[in-house]
Amino acid sequence: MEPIVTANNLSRQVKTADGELTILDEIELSVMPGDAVAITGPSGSGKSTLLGLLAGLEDPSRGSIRLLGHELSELNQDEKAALRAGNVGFVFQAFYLLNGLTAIENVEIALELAGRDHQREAAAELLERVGLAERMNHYPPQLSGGEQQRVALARAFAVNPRVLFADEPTGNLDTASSELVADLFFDLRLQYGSALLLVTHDSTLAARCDRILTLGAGGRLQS
Amino acid sequence: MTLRGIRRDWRTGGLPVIALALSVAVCAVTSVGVFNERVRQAIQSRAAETLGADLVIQSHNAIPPEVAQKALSLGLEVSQQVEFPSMILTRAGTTRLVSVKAVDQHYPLRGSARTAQRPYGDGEVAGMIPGRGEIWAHSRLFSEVEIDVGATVQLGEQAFRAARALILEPDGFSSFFHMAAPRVMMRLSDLPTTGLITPSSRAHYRTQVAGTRQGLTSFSQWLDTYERAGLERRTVKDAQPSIRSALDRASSYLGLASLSVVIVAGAGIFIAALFYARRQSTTVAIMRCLGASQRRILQTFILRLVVVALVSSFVGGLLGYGGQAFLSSLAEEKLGSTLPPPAIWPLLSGIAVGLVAAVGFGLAPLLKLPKLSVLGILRGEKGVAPPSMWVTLGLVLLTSGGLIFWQAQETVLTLWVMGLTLCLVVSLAAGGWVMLWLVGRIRVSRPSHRYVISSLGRRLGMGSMQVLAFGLGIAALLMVTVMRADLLDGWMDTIPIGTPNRFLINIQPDQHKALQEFFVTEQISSPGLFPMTRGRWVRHNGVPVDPQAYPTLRAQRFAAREFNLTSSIDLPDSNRVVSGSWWRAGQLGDKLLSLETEFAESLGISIGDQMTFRISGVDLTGRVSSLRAVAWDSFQVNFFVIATPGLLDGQPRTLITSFFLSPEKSDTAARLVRQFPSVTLFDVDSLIDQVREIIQQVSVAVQYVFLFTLFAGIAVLIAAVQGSATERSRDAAVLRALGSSTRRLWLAQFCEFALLGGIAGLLAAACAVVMSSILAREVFGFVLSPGWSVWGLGCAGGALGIGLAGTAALRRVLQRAPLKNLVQN
Repeated sequence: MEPIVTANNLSRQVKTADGELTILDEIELSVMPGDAVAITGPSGSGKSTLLGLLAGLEDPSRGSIRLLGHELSELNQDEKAALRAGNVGFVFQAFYLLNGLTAIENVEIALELAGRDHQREAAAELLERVGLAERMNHYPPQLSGGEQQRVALARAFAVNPRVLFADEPTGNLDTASSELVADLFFDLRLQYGSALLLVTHDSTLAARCDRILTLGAGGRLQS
Repeated sequence: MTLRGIRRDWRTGGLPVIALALSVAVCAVTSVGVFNERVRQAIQSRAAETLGADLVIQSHNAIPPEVAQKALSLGLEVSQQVEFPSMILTRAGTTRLVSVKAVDQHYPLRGSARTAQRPYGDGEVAGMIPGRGEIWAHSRLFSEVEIDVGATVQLGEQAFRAARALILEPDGFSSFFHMAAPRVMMRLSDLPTTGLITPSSRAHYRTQVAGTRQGLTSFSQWLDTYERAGLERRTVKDAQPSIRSALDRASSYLGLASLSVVIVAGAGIFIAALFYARRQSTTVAIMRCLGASQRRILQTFILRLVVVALVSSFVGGLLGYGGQAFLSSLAEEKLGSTLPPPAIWPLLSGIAVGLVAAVGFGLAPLLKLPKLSVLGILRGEKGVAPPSMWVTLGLVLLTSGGLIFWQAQETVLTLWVMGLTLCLVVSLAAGGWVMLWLVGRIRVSRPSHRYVISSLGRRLGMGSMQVLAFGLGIAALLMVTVMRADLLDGWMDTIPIGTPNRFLINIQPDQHKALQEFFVTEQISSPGLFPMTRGRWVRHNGVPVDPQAYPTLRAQRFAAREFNLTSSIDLPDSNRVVSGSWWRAGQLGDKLLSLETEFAESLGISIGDQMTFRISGVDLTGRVSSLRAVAWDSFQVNFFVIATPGLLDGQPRTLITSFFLSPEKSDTAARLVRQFPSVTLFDVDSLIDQVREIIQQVSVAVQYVFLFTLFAGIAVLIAAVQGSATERSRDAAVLRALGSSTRRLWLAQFCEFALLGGIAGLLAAACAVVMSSILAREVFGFVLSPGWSVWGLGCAGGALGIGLAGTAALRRVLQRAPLKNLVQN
């Protein structure tokens, strides 16, 4: 079976006033279908950058990434976007819902971009599943942080993704909301069988994954 | 500290847009200011030809020599003349009253006289004045005393050869209705030999002066302090009414065009400052946490605004000063004439305008910064509250009012433009809000379509602000492009081909029928014959009139001279009642008067006042029942005072008419004068040409002013796009992460901007039509019929232009890797 995400010799440097700063250095990583991998590390260690690189949201300075069998460096932005549509789900710490759309429309737009049928029904079903049946027609600013993150979960799982990228999904939530969202998140992952790459500070959350990798000082990844 | 702060703010956004909007505003104001000033001077110089100079001093007594000496010492050109009535005697013994004008070798200082080999012939520019022992006589004199060109006539003690027919004297129009006797022009140096001028002679002495603006200003200031009774000053403002009217309109139009730039750029500065204040919210929250007082925060940001305003105004001013040279060279090519050299003051005033605009338009959003909710900002819940409506309105109104007055230099026009701008702003903002709300209610099934529509519907505040900004820009562009053409066409239509170019006066009532037959035979159409009765104004509300009691020279002249009164049943075509009402059918027998409004104002006459005229020794009193605005540049027969037929019935009168004579019918004039030797014929072709030339010059000038409105509009667009760029880039990154293609992103942005542009364009077109119609009626004095193109251009142009420009402005955001946009937001 082919890995769903692999990274070889992956490095990322940025230019600063003091010269070039290495954020990620020679990262080697492989995630198999259905695997749940947590990436932890201190603040500023480059966890979110690594997640973004693996999802094709940014280009590495060096090295290669294969996502769903495609070498990302060979794809242009549109081809990467087409690869993500319907195959990749995202959950961000800051939710990143589209404020101009209602909760159900935020889920529907992911289905539309993936070219799926019966978008309305599917979106409504997922929102019911995350406990937002009554809030479907609310706009994001009218929802609490926990509710917004549940809409983001529904959006991520709506396309039945083969891989899910999650960046601190409970980082902006209070304890009660955090637990609710975490439970929902892992339940949905089990239900849909998606591979998971989870960036988190939360050791409890990380412990619910199959593997925990730590991004240490100097941008190196350790098991 | 301030400079470091500015450098930081420059990177984080906001300040560059304020700097850009300010630079464009100052660049526009400076170049338009310098350019308009140069065009205005060129127009004034052309108009000065109707005076033969830039300034004329006249008196019934000889003008003291120190007046001319002072003008010469200031580097000005000077010409001296004497004008007086006298009798001429032919070899055949015929005598005739003539109006003699003795001129020196410098005459005329502006324009040129035209003479011909035969009476009423095609005039040629006379490069000199009459030779020694020679006179030039008006064509009419040759037919009246039955002599030919070259004949000898006696003038006082000296014989002169009538060397040429005088076709046109440039400064002869101002008094042509009052000049009953034909003109004879001679050399001033020949005057003593005639023995006609003695200390007790009734004569008009004139000193004509021309030169640079600076020299003329110094000379005028000197004249103000030079107290000598009986010296009367005339400038272009006292020129022939048709030229003055055209000059006033030209000045209004150029001023309005410049104002559109200032107003549009002001909107750009305001929106950029709003955006800047929003971007600074986190910095301010942190400064507050670290103990900075509200006062200190306010001082910090105002200081940054002022420094940026100073630098950008200076840069904009220099660019503008350079830019006007380019504009002027283009304009000179089109006008085929050289513009006067540029002045330095528009550069300084442009920089001052930049500072005023920065504070006036940019301060309101910053005032809220020290008062923001620190906790709200740090939690990411609240941005900076919108600025107080009253403070904003007060500052913006004060600034706009000041800037508009500075540009227009006219209270009425300032109030009109202020009122219209306020209506425009309210209509655009309210109309935009309502239309966006309606758009937000449209139901569409596809979420991506819904995204476009609901983005507009959800961002009602920012959306209506953008509609306002775009609408202001589009309305200004429509006003100076499409409506410019309509306004100028409308103005040009007031003097169409076939406008009467000959005036015929002193027609006796018994010549009426014969003259009409002559017109039929010669195939000349005339608007009709109007009665004209001469009378002196003797009492105002029963009090004897004392011309010297009036404060202005113009009013003194009006009060002292004989009036040409007419009676009419109907309101003449080129007249409009502005106060009171025109008489009804049942009032024709009443003793009522209708006065030209400027004339009434200068003499302090109001509706209901009684005016008594002495006509052939009989006093007649009428009540003023209406005031009229007269389009003097229509070249129709017009009067300062019109009476009801009941008031002037039975009084001695002559008739006046005007008609169009094409160049190929020049012989008709000679036949007319031969058949009706007692009538006086005046040719006003050159006046009509001057008015047409002024319109042409304004048209060219406004075309170039348009370019700056376009730049100001672009600055507004950038400011408005920047205002929502953060949210747009975040949304674009999310959609990209979800798998949206570039094309889809572009299309979504284009559709959103195009919808905004379309709405703004529709509202702007409506505003432009309403504003131009009001301006045409109230400022320019004609009815405007706007074409359909303004609607099409407003909607389609707005949608396409804003759609493309908005998408292009977000190009970098759309092309950037999604993670960068997410991290940045």
